[in-house]
Amino acid sequence: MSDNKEDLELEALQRELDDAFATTRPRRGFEDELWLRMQARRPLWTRLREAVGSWGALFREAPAIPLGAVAVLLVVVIGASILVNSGLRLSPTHNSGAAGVAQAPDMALGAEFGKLPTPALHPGVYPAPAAYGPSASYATFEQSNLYFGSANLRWAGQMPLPAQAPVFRYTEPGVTTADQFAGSVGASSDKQVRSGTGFPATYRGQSFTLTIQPTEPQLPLEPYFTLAPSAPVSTNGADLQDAAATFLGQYTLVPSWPSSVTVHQSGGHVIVQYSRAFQLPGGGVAYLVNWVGQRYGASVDINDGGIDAASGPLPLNLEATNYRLISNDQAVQMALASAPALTQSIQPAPAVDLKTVELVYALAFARGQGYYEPAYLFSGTFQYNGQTYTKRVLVPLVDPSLRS
Amino acid sequence: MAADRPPFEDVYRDFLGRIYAYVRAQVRTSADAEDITAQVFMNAYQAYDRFEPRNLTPAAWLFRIARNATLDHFRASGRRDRLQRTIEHQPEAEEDPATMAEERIQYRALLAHVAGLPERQRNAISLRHSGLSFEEVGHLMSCSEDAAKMLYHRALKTLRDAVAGQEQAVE
Repeated sequence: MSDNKEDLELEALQRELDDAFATTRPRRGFEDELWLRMQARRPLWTRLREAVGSWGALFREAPAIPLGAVAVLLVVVIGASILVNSGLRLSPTHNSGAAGVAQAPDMALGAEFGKLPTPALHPGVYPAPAAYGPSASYATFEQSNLYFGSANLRWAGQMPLPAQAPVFRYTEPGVTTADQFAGSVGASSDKQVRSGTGFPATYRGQSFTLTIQPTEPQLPLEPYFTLAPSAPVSTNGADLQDAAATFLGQYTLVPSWPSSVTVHQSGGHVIVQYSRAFQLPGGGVAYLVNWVGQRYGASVDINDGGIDAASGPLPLNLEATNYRLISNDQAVQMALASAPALTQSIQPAPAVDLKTVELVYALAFARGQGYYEPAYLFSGTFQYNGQTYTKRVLVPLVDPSLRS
Repeated sequence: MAADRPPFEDVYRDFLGRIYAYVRAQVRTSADAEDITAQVFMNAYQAYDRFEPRNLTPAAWLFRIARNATLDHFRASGRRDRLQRTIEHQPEAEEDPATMAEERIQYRALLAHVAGLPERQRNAISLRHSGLSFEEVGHLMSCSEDAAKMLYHRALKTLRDAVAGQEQAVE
Protein backbone atom coordinates (compact mmCIF):
# COMPACT_ATOMS: atom_id res chain seq x y z
CA MET A 1 0.00 0.00 0.00
CA SER A 2 1.39 3.40 -0.93
CA ASP A 3 1.99 5.94 1.82
CA ASN A 4 -0.42 8.35 0.19
CA LYS A 5 -3.22 5.82 0.01
CA GLU A 6 -2.58 4.74 3.60
CA ASP A 7 -2.66 8.35 4.80
CA LEU A 8 -5.97 8.91 3.06
CA GLU A 9 -7.43 5.77 4.59
CA LEU A 10 -6.32 6.76 8.07
CA GLU A 11 -7.69 10.28 7.67
CA ALA A 12 -11.03 8.87 6.59
CA LEU A 13 -11.03 6.57 9.58
CA GLN A 14 -10.25 9.50 11.89
CA ARG A 15 -13.20 11.42 10.50
CA GLU A 16 -15.43 8.42 11.04
CA LEU A 17 -14.18 8.11 14.60
CA ASP A 18 -14.84 11.79 15.22
CA ASP A 19 -18.39 11.29 14.01
CA ALA A 20 -18.80 8.07 15.98
CA PHE A 21 -17.77 9.64 19.27
CA ALA A 22 -19.69 12.85 18.58
CA THR A 23 -22.94 11.03 17.86
CA THR A 24 -22.82 8.30 20.50
CA ARG A 25 -25.03 9.43 23.33
CA PRO A 26 -26.99 7.72 26.12
CA ARG A 27 -30.63 6.94 25.65
CA ARG A 28 -33.12 9.74 26.12
CA GLY A 29 -34.02 10.30 29.75
CA PHE A 30 -30.77 9.00 31.14
CA GLU A 31 -29.40 12.49 31.76
CA ASP A 32 -32.36 13.45 33.95
CA GLU A 33 -32.47 10.10 35.75
CA LEU A 34 -28.82 10.26 36.67
CA TRP A 35 -29.06 13.85 37.78
CA LEU A 36 -31.88 12.96 40.15
CA ARG A 37 -29.96 10.01 41.53
CA MET A 38 -27.02 12.28 42.24
CA GLN A 39 -29.23 14.82 43.95
CA ALA A 40 -30.87 12.14 46.07
CA ARG A 41 -27.50 11.00 47.41
CA ARG A 42 -26.51 14.38 48.79
CA PRO A 43 -26.94 15.02 52.51
CA LEU A 44 -30.44 16.20 53.33
CA TRP A 45 -29.39 19.50 54.91
CA THR A 46 -27.44 20.43 51.78
CA ARG A 47 -30.42 19.82 49.57
CA LEU A 48 -32.75 21.78 51.80
CA ARG A 49 -30.33 24.70 51.96
CA GLU A 50 -29.87 24.75 48.21
CA ALA A 51 -33.57 24.32 47.55
CA VAL A 52 -34.35 27.35 49.69
CA GLY A 53 -31.45 29.33 48.24
CA SER A 54 -32.27 28.56 44.64
CA TRP A 55 -36.04 28.98 44.90
CA GLY A 56 -35.95 32.52 43.59
CA ALA A 57 -33.34 31.80 40.98
CA LEU A 58 -35.48 28.99 39.65
CA PHE A 59 -38.00 31.53 38.42
CA ARG A 60 -35.54 34.23 37.41
CA GLU A 61 -33.52 32.32 34.87
CA ALA A 62 -33.59 29.27 32.68
CA PRO A 63 -33.20 26.19 34.87
CA ALA A 64 -29.89 24.36 34.78
CA ILE A 65 -31.80 21.10 34.75
CA PRO A 66 -35.14 20.19 33.23
CA LEU A 67 -38.19 21.44 35.12
CA GLY A 68 -39.54 17.90 35.36
CA ALA A 69 -36.40 16.85 37.19
CA VAL A 70 -36.68 19.83 39.53
CA ALA A 71 -40.28 18.99 40.30
CA VAL A 72 -39.44 15.39 41.21
CA LEU A 73 -36.51 16.57 43.30
CA LEU A 74 -38.69 19.00 45.22
CA VAL A 75 -41.17 16.22 45.95
CA VAL A 76 -38.33 14.09 47.29
CA VAL A 77 -36.86 16.90 49.39
CA ILE A 78 -40.19 18.01 50.80
CA GLY A 79 -41.20 14.41 51.51
CA ALA A 80 -37.94 13.79 53.32
CA SER A 81 -38.23 16.96 55.40
CA ILE A 82 -41.75 15.98 56.46
CA LEU A 83 -40.44 12.64 57.64
CA VAL A 84 -37.61 14.25 59.60
CA ASN A 85 -39.82 16.87 61.21
CA SER A 86 -42.47 14.36 62.14
CA GLY A 87 -39.96 12.33 64.09
CA LEU A 88 -40.80 9.24 62.09
CA ARG A 89 -37.96 6.78 61.64
CA LEU A 90 -37.87 4.19 58.95
CA SER A 91 -35.56 1.24 59.18
CA PRO A 92 -32.68 1.32 56.70
CA THR A 93 -34.09 -1.78 55.04
CA HIS A 94 -37.51 -0.26 54.52
CA ASN A 95 -38.24 -0.42 50.82
CA SER A 96 -41.94 -0.20 50.32
CA GLY A 97 -44.09 2.70 49.29
CA ALA A 98 -43.34 5.44 46.78
CA ALA A 99 -39.79 5.70 45.55
CA GLY A 100 -39.15 9.09 47.15
CA VAL A 101 -40.25 7.97 50.61
CA ALA A 102 -38.40 4.69 50.41
CA GLN A 103 -35.18 6.53 49.74
CA ALA A 104 -35.52 8.79 52.76
CA PRO A 105 -33.47 6.72 55.22
CA ASP A 106 -30.57 6.45 52.81
CA MET A 107 -30.74 10.11 52.03
CA ALA A 108 -30.67 10.96 55.71
CA LEU A 109 -27.58 8.81 56.15
CA GLY A 110 -25.90 10.03 53.02
CA ALA A 111 -25.13 6.53 51.77
CA GLU A 112 -27.02 3.50 50.61
CA PHE A 113 -25.57 0.74 52.80
CA GLY A 114 -27.13 2.18 55.96
CA LYS A 115 -25.14 2.55 59.16
CA LEU A 116 -21.82 0.79 58.97
CA PRO A 117 -20.04 -1.34 61.55
CA THR A 118 -16.80 0.19 62.77
CA PRO A 119 -13.50 -1.36 61.73
CA ALA A 120 -10.89 -1.60 64.47
CA LEU A 121 -7.62 -3.27 65.34
CA HIS A 122 -8.14 -6.48 67.29
CA PRO A 123 -4.70 -7.57 68.44
CA GLY A 124 -6.17 -9.40 71.43
CA VAL A 125 -7.92 -11.89 69.16
CA TYR A 126 -4.64 -12.93 67.64
CA PRO A 127 -3.26 -15.55 67.04
CA ALA A 128 -5.80 -16.53 64.43
CA PRO A 129 -6.72 -20.15 63.97
CA ALA A 130 -4.11 -21.95 61.90
CA ALA A 131 -6.68 -22.69 59.22
CA TYR A 132 -6.51 -19.16 57.83
CA GLY A 133 -3.53 -19.91 55.71
CA PRO A 134 -0.27 -18.26 54.89
CA SER A 135 -1.43 -14.68 55.27
CA ALA A 136 -1.98 -15.20 58.96
CA SER A 137 1.41 -16.87 59.18
CA TYR A 138 2.96 -13.81 57.64
CA ALA A 139 1.39 -11.64 60.31
CA THR A 140 3.28 -13.62 62.95
CA PHE A 141 6.55 -12.67 61.24
CA GLU A 142 5.82 -9.01 61.57
CA GLN A 143 3.83 -8.44 64.70
CA SER A 144 6.39 -9.18 67.44
CA ASN A 145 7.32 -5.53 67.95
CA LEU A 146 3.88 -4.04 67.58
CA TYR A 147 2.52 -2.29 70.64
CA PHE A 148 -1.22 -1.78 71.19
CA GLY A 149 -1.25 -0.63 74.83
CA SER A 150 -1.81 2.87 76.16
CA ALA A 151 0.57 5.63 75.14
CA ASN A 152 0.83 9.38 75.23
CA LEU A 153 0.34 10.22 71.59
CA ARG A 154 1.43 13.25 69.66
CA TRP A 155 0.99 13.95 65.95
CA ALA A 156 4.29 14.87 64.30
CA GLY A 157 3.69 14.03 60.66
CA GLN A 158 2.11 15.45 57.56
CA MET A 159 -1.37 14.49 56.48
CA PRO A 160 -1.96 13.36 52.89
CA LEU A 161 -4.37 15.19 50.66
CA PRO A 162 -7.91 14.06 51.36
CA ALA A 163 -8.93 11.39 48.86
CA GLN A 164 -12.25 10.03 47.83
CA ALA A 165 -12.54 6.47 49.06
CA PRO A 166 -15.79 4.52 48.66
CA VAL A 167 -17.01 1.77 50.94
CA PHE A 168 -17.15 -1.71 49.39
CA ARG A 169 -19.52 -4.40 50.55
CA TYR A 170 -19.81 -8.14 50.04
CA THR A 171 -22.58 -10.46 51.11
CA GLU A 172 -21.52 -13.57 52.96
CA PRO A 173 -21.45 -16.31 50.31
CA GLY A 174 -23.46 -19.48 50.52
CA VAL A 175 -22.53 -23.02 49.67
CA THR A 176 -23.42 -22.47 46.01
CA THR A 177 -20.77 -19.78 45.65
CA ALA A 178 -18.21 -21.98 47.36
CA ASP A 179 -19.12 -24.91 45.10
CA GLN A 180 -18.83 -22.71 42.01
CA PHE A 181 -15.44 -21.47 43.06
CA ALA A 182 -14.27 -25.01 43.76
CA GLY A 183 -15.51 -26.02 40.32
CA SER A 184 -13.56 -23.20 38.70
CA VAL A 185 -10.29 -24.55 40.09
CA GLY A 186 -11.13 -28.14 39.19
CA ALA A 187 -12.23 -29.38 42.58
CA SER A 188 -15.95 -29.88 42.34
CA SER A 189 -16.07 -33.51 43.42
CA ASP A 190 -15.88 -35.25 46.80
CA LYS A 191 -16.97 -32.23 48.77
CA GLN A 192 -16.73 -32.87 52.50
CA VAL A 193 -18.89 -30.51 54.48
CA ARG A 194 -17.66 -30.20 58.01
CA SER A 195 -20.57 -28.40 59.57
CA GLY A 196 -24.32 -28.21 59.28
CA THR A 197 -24.15 -24.80 57.61
CA GLY A 198 -22.03 -26.01 54.75
CA PHE A 199 -18.90 -24.22 55.98
CA PRO A 200 -16.04 -24.75 56.30
CA ALA A 201 -15.95 -27.07 53.32
CA THR A 202 -13.19 -29.22 51.90
CA TYR A 203 -13.02 -30.26 48.27
CA ARG A 204 -10.67 -32.65 46.57
CA GLY A 205 -9.18 -32.03 43.17
CA GLN A 206 -6.55 -33.88 41.21
CA SER A 207 -3.51 -33.85 43.53
CA PHE A 208 -4.74 -31.07 45.78
CA THR A 209 -7.17 -30.22 48.53
CA LEU A 210 -9.20 -27.03 48.63
CA THR A 211 -10.62 -25.64 51.85
CA ILE A 212 -13.07 -22.73 51.94
CA GLN A 213 -13.65 -20.84 55.16
CA PRO A 214 -16.53 -18.46 55.87
CA THR A 215 -16.01 -14.98 57.27
CA GLU A 216 -14.35 -15.03 60.68
CA PRO A 217 -16.25 -12.11 62.28
CA GLN A 218 -14.08 -11.65 65.38
CA LEU A 219 -10.91 -10.74 63.50
CA PRO A 220 -12.60 -10.05 61.06
CA LEU A 221 -11.39 -11.97 58.02
CA GLU A 222 -13.29 -12.39 54.78
CA PRO A 223 -14.12 -15.82 53.30
CA TYR A 224 -10.88 -17.50 52.39
CA PHE A 225 -9.70 -20.42 50.34
CA THR A 226 -6.61 -22.50 50.97
CA LEU A 227 -5.36 -24.76 48.22
CA ALA A 228 -2.82 -27.37 49.34
CA PRO A 229 -1.16 -29.74 46.86
CA SER A 230 -1.01 -33.40 47.92
CA ALA A 231 2.79 -33.17 47.78
CA PRO A 232 4.94 -30.01 47.73
CA VAL A 233 5.39 -28.64 44.20
CA SER A 234 9.06 -28.02 43.54
CA THR A 235 10.03 -24.54 42.41
CA ASN A 236 12.98 -26.11 40.54
CA GLY A 237 15.21 -23.27 41.60
CA ALA A 238 13.07 -20.69 39.78
CA ASP A 239 12.62 -17.18 41.06
CA LEU A 240 10.21 -17.61 43.97
CA GLN A 241 7.90 -14.84 42.86
CA ASP A 242 7.67 -16.35 39.37
CA ALA A 243 7.13 -19.82 40.81
CA ALA A 244 4.29 -18.53 42.98
CA ALA A 245 2.65 -16.79 40.03
CA THR A 246 2.95 -19.91 37.89
CA PHE A 247 1.40 -22.02 40.63
CA LEU A 248 -1.52 -19.62 41.10
CA GLY A 249 -1.93 -19.34 37.33
CA GLN A 250 -2.43 -23.11 37.01
CA TYR A 251 -5.63 -22.70 39.00
CA THR A 252 -6.57 -19.25 37.62
CA LEU A 253 -6.01 -17.89 41.11
CA VAL A 254 -3.73 -14.95 40.22
CA PRO A 255 -5.42 -12.00 41.96
CA SER A 256 -7.59 -9.87 39.71
CA TRP A 257 -7.57 -6.98 42.20
CA PRO A 258 -4.74 -4.41 42.43
CA SER A 259 -1.87 -5.78 44.48
CA SER A 260 1.80 -5.48 45.24
CA VAL A 261 3.95 -8.57 45.57
CA THR A 262 6.56 -9.04 48.29
CA VAL A 263 8.65 -12.02 49.33
CA HIS A 264 9.21 -12.74 53.03
CA GLN A 265 11.72 -15.30 54.20
CA SER A 266 12.34 -16.83 57.59
CA GLY A 267 14.80 -19.73 57.44
CA GLY A 268 13.55 -22.20 54.86
CA HIS A 269 10.03 -20.79 54.98
CA VAL A 270 9.13 -18.27 52.30
CA ILE A 271 5.85 -16.47 51.82
CA VAL A 272 5.10 -14.72 48.54
CA GLN A 273 2.54 -12.15 49.51
CA TYR A 274 0.04 -10.40 47.20
CA SER A 275 -1.09 -7.44 49.28
CA ARG A 276 -4.59 -6.50 48.29
CA ALA A 277 -5.45 -2.92 47.39
CA PHE A 278 -8.54 -1.03 46.32
CA GLN A 279 -8.50 1.39 43.42
CA LEU A 280 -9.38 4.93 44.45
CA PRO A 281 -11.68 6.92 42.14
CA GLY A 282 -9.22 9.80 41.92
CA GLY A 283 -6.30 7.51 41.07
CA GLY A 284 -3.92 5.51 43.22
CA VAL A 285 -4.76 2.65 45.54
CA ALA A 286 -5.25 2.02 49.25
CA TYR A 287 -4.11 -1.28 50.77
CA LEU A 288 -6.22 -3.60 52.86
CA VAL A 289 -4.92 -4.16 56.40
CA ASN A 290 -5.83 -6.86 58.88
CA TRP A 291 -6.60 -6.85 62.59
CA VAL A 292 -3.10 -5.70 63.53
CA GLY A 293 -2.77 -3.15 60.74
CA GLN A 294 -0.74 -5.46 58.51
CA ARG A 295 -1.29 -5.58 54.75
CA TYR A 296 -2.65 -8.88 53.53
CA GLY A 297 -4.30 -10.57 50.59
CA ALA A 298 -3.37 -13.76 48.79
CA SER A 299 -0.17 -15.65 49.46
CA VAL A 300 1.82 -18.69 48.53
CA ASP A 301 3.71 -20.74 51.12
CA ILE A 302 7.02 -22.24 50.10
CA ASN A 303 8.94 -24.54 52.45
CA ASP A 304 12.42 -25.75 51.58
CA GLY A 305 11.91 -25.08 47.88
CA GLY A 306 8.48 -26.70 47.62
CA ILE A 307 5.12 -24.93 47.33
CA ASP A 308 2.81 -26.43 49.90
CA ALA A 309 -0.12 -24.01 50.06
CA ALA A 310 -1.75 -21.00 48.48
CA SER A 311 -4.50 -18.98 50.04
CA GLY A 312 -6.48 -15.87 49.42
CA PRO A 313 -9.89 -14.25 49.65
CA LEU A 314 -12.74 -16.01 47.92
CA PRO A 315 -13.63 -13.96 44.82
CA LEU A 316 -16.88 -12.18 45.68
CA ASN A 317 -18.92 -9.48 44.03
CA LEU A 318 -18.35 -6.10 45.65
CA GLU A 319 -20.82 -3.25 45.69
CA ALA A 320 -19.46 0.25 46.19
CA THR A 321 -20.93 3.45 47.50
CA ASN A 322 -19.71 6.73 48.90
CA TYR A 323 -20.04 7.88 52.47
CA ARG A 324 -19.32 11.24 54.02
CA LEU A 325 -15.77 11.11 55.39
CA ILE A 326 -14.30 13.04 58.27
CA SER A 327 -11.70 15.75 57.68
CA ASN A 328 -7.98 15.28 58.22
CA ASP A 329 -8.12 17.48 61.33
CA GLN A 330 -10.86 15.32 62.80
CA ALA A 331 -8.87 12.19 61.97
CA VAL A 332 -5.81 13.48 63.82
CA GLN A 333 -7.92 14.42 66.84
CA MET A 334 -9.50 10.98 66.86
CA ALA A 335 -6.08 9.30 66.58
CA LEU A 336 -4.71 11.25 69.54
CA ALA A 337 -7.78 10.56 71.64
CA SER A 338 -8.05 6.88 70.68
CA ALA A 339 -8.38 4.21 73.33
CA PRO A 340 -5.67 1.53 73.33
CA ALA A 341 -6.58 -1.63 71.45
CA LEU A 342 -5.09 -3.74 74.26
CA THR A 343 -5.28 -3.24 78.00
CA GLN A 344 -1.81 -4.70 78.64
CA SER A 345 0.44 -1.65 78.66
CA ILE A 346 3.93 -0.55 79.48
CA GLN A 347 4.04 1.52 82.66
CA PRO A 348 4.45 4.40 82.63
CA ALA A 349 2.78 4.81 79.28
CA PRO A 350 5.40 5.61 76.64
CA ALA A 351 5.38 8.86 74.69
CA VAL A 352 4.92 8.17 71.00
CA ASP A 353 5.20 10.60 68.12
CA LEU A 354 2.88 9.40 65.36
CA LYS A 355 4.87 10.35 62.29
CA THR A 356 3.33 8.47 59.42
CA VAL A 357 -0.19 7.98 58.17
CA GLU A 358 -1.53 5.89 55.32
CA LEU A 359 -4.96 5.67 53.75
CA VAL A 360 -5.94 2.00 54.06
CA TYR A 361 -8.99 -0.22 53.95
CA ALA A 362 -10.08 -2.31 56.93
CA LEU A 363 -12.82 -4.90 57.09
CA ALA A 364 -15.79 -4.77 59.44
CA PHE A 365 -18.54 -7.37 59.47
CA ALA A 366 -22.18 -7.14 60.54
CA ARG A 367 -25.57 -8.58 59.64
CA GLY A 368 -24.14 -11.11 57.19
CA GLN A 369 -22.21 -8.55 55.20
CA GLY A 370 -18.58 -7.50 55.12
CA TYR A 371 -17.64 -3.86 54.61
CA TYR A 372 -14.26 -2.69 53.37
CA GLU A 373 -14.06 0.78 54.86
CA PRO A 374 -11.49 3.53 54.36
CA ALA A 375 -9.38 4.40 57.39
CA TYR A 376 -6.19 6.18 58.28
CA LEU A 377 -3.49 3.99 59.81
CA PHE A 378 -1.26 6.18 61.97
CA SER A 379 2.02 4.81 63.25
CA GLY A 380 5.03 5.87 65.28
CA THR A 381 7.91 4.13 67.02
CA PHE A 382 9.41 4.31 70.50
CA GLN A 383 12.20 2.64 72.42
CA TYR A 384 11.65 0.42 75.44
CA ASN A 385 14.30 -1.74 77.11
CA GLY A 386 16.56 -1.36 74.11
CA GLN A 387 13.90 -2.51 71.68
CA THR A 388 12.09 -0.47 69.04
CA TYR A 389 8.33 -0.84 69.17
CA THR A 390 5.72 0.38 66.71
CA LYS A 391 2.45 1.86 67.85
CA ARG A 392 -0.43 1.76 65.38
CA VAL A 393 -3.73 3.56 65.53
CA LEU A 394 -6.56 2.92 63.09
CA VAL A 395 -9.03 5.76 62.55
CA PRO A 396 -12.12 4.91 60.46
CA LEU A 397 -12.85 7.70 58.00
CA VAL A 398 -16.58 7.27 57.59
CA ASP A 399 -18.35 9.98 59.56
CA PRO A 400 -19.16 8.59 63.05
CA SER A 401 -22.82 9.57 62.65
CA LEU A 402 -23.02 7.08 59.77
CA ARG A 403 -21.60 4.22 61.81
CA SER A 404 -23.47 2.03 64.23
CA MET B 1 -16.60 27.30 45.78
CA ALA B 2 -13.53 28.58 43.98
CA ALA B 3 -14.30 31.49 41.66
CA ASP B 4 -12.81 29.77 38.63
CA ARG B 5 -14.62 26.48 39.15
CA PRO B 6 -17.75 26.24 37.00
CA PRO B 7 -20.98 25.01 38.62
CA PHE B 8 -21.11 21.25 38.64
CA GLU B 9 -24.39 21.32 36.74
CA ASP B 10 -22.58 22.93 33.80
CA VAL B 11 -19.82 20.35 33.88
CA TYR B 12 -22.40 17.60 34.07
CA ARG B 13 -24.35 18.82 31.07
CA ASP B 14 -21.25 19.57 29.02
CA PHE B 15 -19.55 16.25 29.60
CA LEU B 16 -22.22 13.60 30.14
CA GLY B 17 -22.44 12.74 26.45
CA ARG B 18 -18.69 12.68 25.90
CA ILE B 19 -18.03 10.55 28.95
CA TYR B 20 -20.79 8.15 27.95
CA ALA B 21 -19.35 7.83 24.43
CA TYR B 22 -15.88 7.19 25.84
CA VAL B 23 -17.18 4.51 28.19
CA ARG B 24 -19.47 3.00 25.55
CA ALA B 25 -16.46 2.46 23.30
CA GLN B 26 -14.87 0.36 26.05
CA VAL B 27 -17.65 -1.98 27.12
CA ARG B 28 -19.95 -4.50 25.49
CA THR B 29 -23.38 -3.25 26.50
CA SER B 30 -25.18 0.02 26.98
CA ALA B 31 -26.24 -1.13 30.46
CA ASP B 32 -22.60 -1.37 31.50
CA ALA B 33 -21.91 2.00 29.90
CA GLU B 34 -24.75 3.59 31.86
CA ASP B 35 -23.61 2.02 35.13
CA ILE B 36 -20.05 3.20 34.69
CA THR B 37 -21.10 6.66 33.52
CA ALA B 38 -23.33 6.97 36.58
CA GLN B 39 -20.46 5.94 38.82
CA VAL B 40 -18.16 8.46 37.15
CA PHE B 41 -20.49 11.38 37.80
CA MET B 42 -21.40 10.22 41.31
CA ASN B 43 -17.69 10.12 42.12
CA ALA B 44 -17.07 13.43 40.40
CA TYR B 45 -19.94 15.08 42.25
CA GLN B 46 -18.62 13.89 45.61
CA ALA B 47 -15.10 15.07 44.80
CA TYR B 48 -15.94 18.32 43.04
CA ASP B 49 -15.19 20.48 46.07
CA ARG B 50 -11.62 19.22 45.92
CA PHE B 51 -11.22 19.66 42.17
CA GLU B 52 -8.60 22.31 41.40
CA PRO B 53 -9.12 23.78 37.90
CA ARG B 54 -5.76 25.53 38.12
CA ASN B 55 -4.01 22.15 37.94
CA LEU B 56 -6.27 20.23 35.60
CA THR B 57 -8.98 20.92 33.06
CA PRO B 58 -12.45 19.56 33.89
CA ALA B 59 -12.10 17.28 30.84
CA ALA B 60 -8.83 15.73 32.01
CA TRP B 61 -10.19 15.36 35.53
CA LEU B 62 -13.43 13.69 34.42
CA PHE B 63 -11.79 11.40 31.91
CA ARG B 64 -9.32 10.27 34.56
CA ILE B 65 -12.22 9.29 36.79
CA ALA B 66 -13.91 7.62 33.81
CA ARG B 67 -10.80 5.66 32.90
CA ASN B 68 -10.38 4.44 36.49
CA ALA B 69 -14.04 3.51 36.73
CA THR B 70 -13.83 1.57 33.48
CA LEU B 71 -10.72 -0.27 34.62
CA ASP B 72 -12.48 -1.08 37.90
CA HIS B 73 -15.40 -2.43 35.91
CA PHE B 74 -13.14 -4.75 33.93
CA ARG B 75 -11.33 -5.91 37.04
CA ALA B 76 -14.56 -6.64 38.84
CA SER B 77 -16.42 -8.22 35.97
CA GLY B 78 -13.61 -10.10 34.25
CA ARG B 79 -13.09 -12.75 36.86
CA ARG B 80 -16.81 -13.05 37.56
CA ASP B 81 -17.67 -13.48 33.88
CA ARG B 82 -14.91 -15.98 33.28
CA LEU B 83 -15.98 -18.01 36.28
CA GLN B 84 -19.63 -17.88 35.24
CA ARG B 85 -18.87 -18.94 31.68
CA THR B 86 -16.64 -21.76 32.91
CA ILE B 87 -19.40 -23.08 35.08
CA GLU B 88 -22.27 -22.62 32.72
CA HIS B 89 -20.40 -22.87 29.39
CA GLN B 90 -22.15 -19.72 28.31
CA PRO B 91 -21.00 -17.39 25.54
CA GLU B 92 -20.35 -13.73 26.30
CA ALA B 93 -23.43 -11.63 26.99
CA GLU B 94 -25.05 -10.05 23.97
CA GLU B 95 -26.85 -6.74 23.89
CA ASP B 96 -30.61 -6.96 24.09
CA PRO B 97 -32.07 -5.99 20.63
CA ALA B 98 -34.67 -3.73 22.26
CA THR B 99 -31.95 -1.85 24.09
CA MET B 100 -29.92 -1.59 20.91
CA ALA B 101 -32.87 0.05 19.20
CA GLU B 102 -33.18 2.58 22.00
CA GLU B 103 -29.53 3.47 22.05
CA ARG B 104 -28.32 6.41 20.03
CA ILE B 105 -25.33 4.98 18.18
CA GLN B 106 -24.81 5.48 14.46
CA TYR B 107 -21.44 3.81 14.23
CA ARG B 108 -22.07 0.66 16.26
CA ALA B 109 -19.79 -1.57 14.21
CA LEU B 110 -16.90 0.88 14.35
CA LEU B 111 -17.22 1.26 18.12
CA ALA B 112 -17.34 -2.51 18.46
CA HIS B 113 -13.98 -2.64 16.68
CA VAL B 114 -12.63 0.02 19.04
CA ALA B 115 -13.85 -2.04 22.00
CA GLY B 116 -11.91 -5.00 20.61
CA LEU B 117 -8.56 -3.20 20.65
CA PRO B 118 -5.96 -3.87 23.37
CA GLU B 119 -6.63 -1.77 26.46
CA ARG B 120 -4.04 0.98 25.90
CA GLN B 121 -4.77 1.32 22.20
CA ARG B 122 -8.49 1.43 22.92
CA ASN B 123 -7.96 4.18 25.45
CA ALA B 124 -5.70 6.20 23.18
CA ILE B 125 -8.33 6.16 20.42
CA SER B 126 -11.23 6.80 22.75
CA LEU B 127 -9.63 9.62 24.71
CA ARG B 128 -8.31 11.34 21.60
CA HIS B 129 -11.65 11.23 19.79
CA SER B 130 -13.42 12.37 22.94
CA GLY B 131 -11.67 15.67 22.38
CA LEU B 132 -8.58 15.42 24.55
CA SER B 133 -5.22 16.74 23.39
CA PHE B 134 -2.31 14.33 23.04
CA GLU B 135 -0.77 15.99 26.07
CA GLU B 136 -3.87 15.16 28.11
CA VAL B 137 -4.02 11.64 26.68
CA GLY B 138 -0.39 11.10 27.67
CA HIS B 139 -1.00 12.52 31.13
CA LEU B 140 -3.95 10.18 31.67
CA MET B 141 -2.08 7.18 30.38
CA SER B 142 1.10 7.96 32.30
CA CYS B 143 3.25 8.50 29.25
CA SER B 144 4.70 11.42 27.30
CA GLU B 145 2.84 13.37 24.66
CA ASP B 146 5.02 11.80 21.94
CA ALA B 147 4.41 8.32 23.30
CA ALA B 148 0.68 9.03 23.29
CA LYS B 149 0.87 10.09 19.63
CA MET B 150 2.74 6.91 18.70
CA LEU B 151 0.32 4.77 20.64
CA TYR B 152 -2.61 6.48 18.97
CA HIS B 153 -1.25 6.02 15.45
CA ARG B 154 -0.44 2.39 16.13
CA ALA B 155 -3.98 1.94 17.43
CA LEU B 156 -5.39 3.66 14.36
CA LYS B 157 -3.58 1.24 12.05
CA THR B 158 -4.69 -1.75 14.11
CA LEU B 159 -8.25 -0.48 13.92
CA ARG B 160 -8.05 0.07 10.18
CA ASP B 161 -6.77 -3.49 9.71
CA ALA B 162 -9.55 -4.87 11.90
CA VAL B 163 -12.22 -2.99 9.96
CA ALA B 164 -10.72 -4.02 6.63
CA GLY B 165 -10.48 -7.62 7.80
CA GLN B 166 -14.16 -7.73 8.60
CA GLU B 167 -15.16 -6.07 5.33
CA GLN B 168 -13.18 -8.70 3.40
CA ALA B 169 -14.81 -11.46 5.44
CA VAL B 170 -18.26 -10.10 4.57
CA GLU B 171 -17.39 -9.93 0.88
